[in-house]
Amino acid sequence: MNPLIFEHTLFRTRAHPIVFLFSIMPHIILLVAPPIALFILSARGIALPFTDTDIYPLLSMMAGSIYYLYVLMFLLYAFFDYFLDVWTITDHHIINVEQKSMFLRTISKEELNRVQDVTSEIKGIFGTFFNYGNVYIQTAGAHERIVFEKISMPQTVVDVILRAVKRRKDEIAHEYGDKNGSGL
Amino acid sequence: MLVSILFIAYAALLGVWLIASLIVIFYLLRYQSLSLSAWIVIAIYIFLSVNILYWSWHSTLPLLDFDFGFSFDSL
Repeated sequence: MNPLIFEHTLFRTRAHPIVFLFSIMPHIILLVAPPIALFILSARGIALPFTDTDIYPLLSMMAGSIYYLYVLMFLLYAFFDYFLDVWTITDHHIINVEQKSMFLRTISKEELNRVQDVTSEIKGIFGTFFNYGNVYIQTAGAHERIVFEKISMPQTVVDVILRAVKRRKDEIAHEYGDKNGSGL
Repeated sequence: MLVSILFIAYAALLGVWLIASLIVIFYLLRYQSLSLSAWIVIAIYIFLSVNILYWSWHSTLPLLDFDFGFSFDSL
């Protein structure tokens, strides 16, 4: 029987939505730049090459549609990159899912009773204003620490993790009769 | 001649765009198929893409002077 069946998700989080907004700013600029540039050029009476030729409508439609389709695709990719980075806390584990690139996805899982230290960090004006930041989770052993990057309300998340860790350690101590909760 | 080269380049770029889009959509649905947000974003993406493609082809194809056997204005 798979013991993970009895796990319950305590919460699942992603980076703060404002982080996604910042990441798509270049795409938004690319979307609005051509009409603004054309407007400025026409307002100043500057004619583009080929404007008076037969090929111009064809060229502008082809180039314009390809340009907007590609900008749209990169916008979708930015969403994909944001949306597939998920951090989950269950009553047994911390699960860190990161989509690092199109074909590179890492999933790491750490047991709650191995957590030693949980730290939150809020940096910068936007982090302070929108209340987002990093949460660093240090576990026992030689593993890298787990980082929840730019999540909402990092201090609340730290409290939730610490409560879950304490509950899990108490469960293990009760189960094994071990007061230090190491489970050994 | 120039029109043919343009058309081939256009078709090639569209092909690359289509494959890349399908990969991203496939990945999103593979890992987040239960998420309503993912479905909404994909629906908006398909809607906008179809609109761009429709208007682009609608405006471009008559200029290519190809006989497709029907008029795009009748659509």
